[in-house]
Amino acid sequence: MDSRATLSTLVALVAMPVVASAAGGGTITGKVEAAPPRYLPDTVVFLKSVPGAKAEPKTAILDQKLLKFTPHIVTIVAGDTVVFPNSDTIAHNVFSPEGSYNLGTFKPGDKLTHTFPKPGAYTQLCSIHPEMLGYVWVGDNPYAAAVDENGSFTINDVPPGTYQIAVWNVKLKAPDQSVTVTAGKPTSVSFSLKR
Amino acid sequence: MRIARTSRNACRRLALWTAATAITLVASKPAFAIPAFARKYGTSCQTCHVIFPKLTPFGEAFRRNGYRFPGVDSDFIKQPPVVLGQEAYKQIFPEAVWPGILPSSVPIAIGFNGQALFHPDTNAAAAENGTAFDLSTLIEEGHIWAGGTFTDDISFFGELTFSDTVELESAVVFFDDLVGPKHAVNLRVGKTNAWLSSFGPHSTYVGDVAIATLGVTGLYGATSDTWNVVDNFRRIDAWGILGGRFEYDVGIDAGANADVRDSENVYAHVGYKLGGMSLDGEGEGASAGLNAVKPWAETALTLDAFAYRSRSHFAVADGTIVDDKAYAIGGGVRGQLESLELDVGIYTEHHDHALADGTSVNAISQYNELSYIVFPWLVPAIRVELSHLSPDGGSSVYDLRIVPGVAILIRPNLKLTVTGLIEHAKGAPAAGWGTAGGFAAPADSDTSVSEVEQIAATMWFAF
Repeated sequence: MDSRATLSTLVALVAMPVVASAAGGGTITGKVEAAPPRYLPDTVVFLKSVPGAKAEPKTAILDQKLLKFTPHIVTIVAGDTVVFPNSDTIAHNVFSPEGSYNLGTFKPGDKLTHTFPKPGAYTQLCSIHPEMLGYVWVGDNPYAAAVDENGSFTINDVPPGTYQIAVWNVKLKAPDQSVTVTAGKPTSVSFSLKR
Repeated sequence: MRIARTSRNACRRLALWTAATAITLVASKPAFAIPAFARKYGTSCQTCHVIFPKLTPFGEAFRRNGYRFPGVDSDFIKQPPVVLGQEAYKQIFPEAVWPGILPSSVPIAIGFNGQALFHPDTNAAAAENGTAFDLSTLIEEGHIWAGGTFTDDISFFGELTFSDTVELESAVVFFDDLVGPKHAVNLRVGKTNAWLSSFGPHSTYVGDVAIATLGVTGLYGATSDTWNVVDNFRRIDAWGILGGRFEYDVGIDAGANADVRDSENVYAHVGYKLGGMSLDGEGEGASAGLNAVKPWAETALTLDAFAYRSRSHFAVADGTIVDDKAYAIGGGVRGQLESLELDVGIYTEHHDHALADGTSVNAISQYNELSYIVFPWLVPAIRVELSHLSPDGGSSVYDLRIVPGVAILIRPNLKLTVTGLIEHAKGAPAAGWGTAGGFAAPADSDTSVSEVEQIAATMWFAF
């Protein structure tokens, strides 16, 4: 198994929230539009408060490959750890202005980790390659999803109930909405982000 | 300014005396929104231009904002730029370089221009060597323009012009939104023109520059480049827009000198616009008074006033360097009623040593242009310019130029103008015209000359 397959498998594994109440949950899907659209990739949709939604600490991966952070955004829960591999053939660095951490320079093949104890959006930068940008989005529950290139998102295994669903974007805003989740059924929500 | 090969002497005179009608005679020096901007924003030339270089109200706002879109400029960029540092780097400055962007394509545009000349009267002064039909300047100049943004609040513009030689027309960096409300305080640093009007320097359909140039010292014997209110000089200036309706510009420049000297030329301009789109195109003013199907049309009145003080060293024929202080004061009015527009302007200049013998000169330049946009690609216009120079104790010189014409936009980036030039001049400098003067050059102070100088078909294209 090559390193990419290993990482993909790990991402898939760690992406599954371990929440007892999720069994028999519903799915929230939807689409986010952004004006201007160039900020669309920097978007996370999340549930603001989910009573009893406690997850065991897990590990996610934010890779550095071909001078990009991959995925662009990784969503985790406070207390989780992110592994930062360097899958490139050149040296990289990871630091975060908000997180006040700098993992230093790491060689190709190196992996460094950082645990995020508090919710927030943490910008990930590489001091060697200033154009690189990624985010670690840390929530207080596991019900969050970054949008894809089309603005689509899916939040799986949400316990039935009514919640406030919100959207985070690095530059743009949209009002929170109320969403009711029914077991075994998808619920659709859309957001329109503006300045 | 470039001059036609076969009419170099005549155009040299013209360049020194007045550049206002130059578009009908010689290639002009454009400085306007360029195809590089069209590529950057993925938008048509018509977003900013009626018939280039004439700007729409939006295009004027774009220019006034330092060649930036109202709002957040980068929001409108269609070409994803190369990121020279993510925005989050601002949070750790000064530990890192302040981030910027690089256009994904080189922000360059290229253009060419030239004209075919017809002289109905082969005895007219413009008909050099008695020519009736002259294609020698059909393609006269090439231009390379550069324009774009380093970040949302720093932009740039530059132009090189090629003909027999290469000339750096302009190169300027705009530091935008430095303090206070947006657009209130900005800085320009580089070689460019003073903003003595609320509108672009080439806001004309049938002329070259909107504010007619007076080459006072040139008329009286200067052999080196001389100062005038229009030309591009090395300068630092501050400008801003307050409340969307009031504009100011103050600055200092190096002017044109035959030798190295202190740069102490200073100038100031204020303008106020009533009605129509706001000067910065921001907020509610972005659509104020605009015609939904005619983006160039608005009903507005704009008032401008300026003052300019220059101190210049220029050389005369025997090599003597003359120290001349000049003071100019003037203003203009633009009235626009939908597609009908009238521009009127006037200024006076007083030179304390305009002549080699130290004689002072008073001068007046008055200019008007009336235009009507029949279609967005067809604009007839007439321009009238009057220049009057009065040396202390000497004979006055008077020159009236009437330029009727039509501007035709064949394609958004291909333009044709057909213009005539009718000139009436009276009087002559005591020492003769030398290399200065208009085309019509009376022999002495008691003589007047009226001539139909020429009809010019001028072509522009840019990409």
